[in-house]
Amino acid sequence: MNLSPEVDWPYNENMDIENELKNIFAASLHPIILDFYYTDEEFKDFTCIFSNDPKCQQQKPISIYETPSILRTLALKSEIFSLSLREKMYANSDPELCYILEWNDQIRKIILFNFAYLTAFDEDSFVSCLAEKRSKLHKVFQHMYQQKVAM
Amino acid sequence: MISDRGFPRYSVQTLQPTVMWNNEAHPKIEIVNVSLSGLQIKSSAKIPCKKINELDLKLKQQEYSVSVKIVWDKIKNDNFFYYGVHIKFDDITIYDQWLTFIKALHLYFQRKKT
Repeated sequence: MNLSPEVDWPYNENMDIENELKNIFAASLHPIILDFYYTDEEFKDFTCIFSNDPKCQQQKPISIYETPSILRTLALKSEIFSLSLREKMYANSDPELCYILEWNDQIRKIILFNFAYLTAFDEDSFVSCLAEKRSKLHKVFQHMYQQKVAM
Repeated sequence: MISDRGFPRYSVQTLQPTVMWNNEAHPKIEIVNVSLSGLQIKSSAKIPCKKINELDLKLKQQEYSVSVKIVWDKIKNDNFFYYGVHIKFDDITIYDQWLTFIKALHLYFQRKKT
């Protein structure tokens, strides 16, 4: 399955990422703390291209197996746990959520949401927002990605 | 949604693991590659499959036992039978062992690439 959403180019050169994210998630969560990561090769660690997490300013590459939120999401999608083990594995709440924006042999783009600082959160609105505004999120991601690649 | 290939796959053919299939030695089975969620295996003879099968891999001093289900099979041009095998973990200890094995392979392949 190729999940590359259609991106309406050209993107806005002067895009203000923080404002774009606020617009996308306006009714869902506050504050919006997230990181954008990508990798273009399955054995390579994920590279951070954007982070507004005050505790994550080093932006080091992260491993698929050493990042619980990525591992959790992929394990769920791959259905590797029996029901009883899944209940054990997901019993403890983790403040980080991995959302897969694009995942194919050429590129893997993910967003890590950090919920540790939340003061307002509407789960239903957040879920529908991710589904409805996937293309817009991808556009924001692509903007950061182009900047990173151009460096 | 993601593609079926969520986790990276690692070739282990050079490691030549010993394979037990449903608690019986099965010298005709070779492991083509492994991932956290499954394996691809090949055999010169058709493998007897149950709904859930027990697969034991022995690599030098390490032994890994996992419960697996065949999710696809095909005969390729080399006349070998190929099987896609999905792992289902029911035990945290077995999962942790397998994860440690996969992490080691990941690091090995990362270093090999660079």
